Amino acid sequence: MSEMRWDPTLSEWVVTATHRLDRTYKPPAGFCPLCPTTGSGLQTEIPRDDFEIAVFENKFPSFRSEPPEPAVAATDLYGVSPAQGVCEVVVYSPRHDLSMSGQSVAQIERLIRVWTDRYRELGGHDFVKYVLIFENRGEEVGVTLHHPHGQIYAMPFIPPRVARELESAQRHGEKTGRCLFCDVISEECKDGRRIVARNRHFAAGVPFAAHFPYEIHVYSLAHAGSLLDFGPHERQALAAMLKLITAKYDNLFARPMPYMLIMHQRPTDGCPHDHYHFHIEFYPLLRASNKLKFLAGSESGGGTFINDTLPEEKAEELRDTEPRDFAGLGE
Amino acid sequence: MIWAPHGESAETKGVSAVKDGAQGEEEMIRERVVKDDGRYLIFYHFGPDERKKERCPEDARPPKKRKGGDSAHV
Repeated sequence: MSEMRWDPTLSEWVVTATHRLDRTYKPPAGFCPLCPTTGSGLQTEIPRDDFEIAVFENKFPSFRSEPPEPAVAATDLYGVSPAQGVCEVVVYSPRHDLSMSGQSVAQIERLIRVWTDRYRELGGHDFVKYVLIFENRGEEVGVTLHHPHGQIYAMPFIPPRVARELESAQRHGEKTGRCLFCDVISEECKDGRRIVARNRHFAAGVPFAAHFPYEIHVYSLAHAGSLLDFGPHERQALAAMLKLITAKYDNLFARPMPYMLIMHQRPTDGCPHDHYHFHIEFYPLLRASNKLKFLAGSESGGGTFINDTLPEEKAEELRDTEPRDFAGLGE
Repeated sequence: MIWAPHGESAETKGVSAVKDGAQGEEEMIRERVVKDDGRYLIFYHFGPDERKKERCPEDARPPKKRKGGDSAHV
């Protein structure tokens, strides 16, 4: 059972997906459903003994292209709608132990081309208004399958966090005539204190108002709305940046960093959204080697994040963490 | 459990492929198959490798079935 229920107090959709309670939960490594199917007899989601990158429809989707009728009827107060959309799983490689930081730049570049292809195809559906590409990594984030993979939610609405960014960008554009994100990048590059890394096409830094201690946003230096705006050079530079950031994260506390990676792109609702700007947001959950950042009362109940650290100090710490530059990464 | 065994071969009800790649980039081939439960699965192949070329439907050849079964449920 899955449906969308409108919360009139927050003016946002909540998706109920009761079947997801039954989804696969932390299978042992020998029974990974995302590994290739080998001669041992167990059929995984990938019915071949080898592959490079594979994408499949999630068996436990929050959104379906042909969704069931909602369990309850809408009222004047409570909107209800079928959860129409698509949910995909992107398996980065056949290797069970090869996370993004361990992949070559060329491999990550291929992944970016797959993401681009999925954004193009899924965004082409008339019922898809937003294509949310993301990765949850680590048990601390709630990951149930350890094999490196990401997910894509092709959604029938623009999610509220992106909608707020769009509204802010619209207001800034009307006031200044410029792109809000281009102004952010310009100010960050001039200031420099929060920049973690920069190459020819992308800059990565801890945001001025970071929500998580080691949060990093990766921005395209040129104004671009989505992956579709990038050519081979930009894709290679983005791949190098993603490898650098994830390698720094894993080296920071000498353990795999649990994080969420979320790609923010132009909505696919048919409107131009020319003022929106491609970026990737990383939310790492560790605030020290053995301490997690929890979304507690203030964050969950009030919507106000309390950051125990100074973004300028955390950016310096990340800059000083290996790898310090792109040398040797293939850029 | 989504890895429950239901036979060992992949029955591809439909296969399509699209070649892609800007100049200077390696070729990307998208091979789309439909599983027995109706869900699609897309394999992305890169580079001019002969094995990948063999899987391209432009050669009018679907993936070879494996021994021991004629259907799969993944």
